[in-house]
Amino acid sequence: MSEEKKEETETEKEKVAEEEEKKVEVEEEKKEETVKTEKGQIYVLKTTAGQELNVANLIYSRAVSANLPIYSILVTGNLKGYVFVEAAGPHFVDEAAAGIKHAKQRLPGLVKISELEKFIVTKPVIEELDVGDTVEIVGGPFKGMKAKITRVDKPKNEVTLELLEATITLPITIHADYVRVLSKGKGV
Amino acid sequence: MREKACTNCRMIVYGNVCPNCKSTSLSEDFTGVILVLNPEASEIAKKAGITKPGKYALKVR
Repeated sequence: MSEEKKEETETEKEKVAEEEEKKVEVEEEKKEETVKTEKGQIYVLKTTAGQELNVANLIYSRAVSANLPIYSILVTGNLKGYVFVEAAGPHFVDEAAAGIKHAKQRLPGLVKISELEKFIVTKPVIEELDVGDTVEIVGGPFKGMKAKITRVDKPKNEVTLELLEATITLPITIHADYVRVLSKGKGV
Repeated sequence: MREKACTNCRMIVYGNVCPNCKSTSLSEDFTGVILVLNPEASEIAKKAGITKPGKYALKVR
């Protein structure tokens, strides 16, 4: 008899556990639904070139103080004059940007997240560099000079270059982040 | 004091220690900024792998 009772209690326990699991699943589904409704859209705000960060900081402080449903603000390093604002609606962006000196206008339409992916997920520059490529140096004492890659050191993240503008071909080694590809070479 | 970005978690800080990951490896050389207010609702924050609100750099050298 005691064994039968044990079995019964075990089956009851299992049932209770299953019911609890179902409850948790339903709650998770509800949570997902609320998150879905909360999802924002990405709007583009035109600004004075070079003032993107100031505008973004002002919108950020306004959104925090006025508790506006603005979820994030994106300033890409290589797109001048534009700030991307992710918010629940366009009027919130207008409200946050109103009166800011360098914020010009909100562009009509939305931006898809897939279009912004290339700005957000940045690949290491060295992956795109090959021997023979013509590059421009964007930082350091040789800034603005054009050069040709003679060696790529991937573990150290460095490239060896030969300056095209110098009279003597002097090899220089610099960090791969300080070069920008101008044209791809044929490779050696 | 100039803004610095943590090379570990990319958070932009003013001091010498990152308040997010307690790392002291900071860099002044960074490009792009993401200001996150609501990381749960933001698609941009999810793509960038940001889970806490704050100011982050896109790329830190």
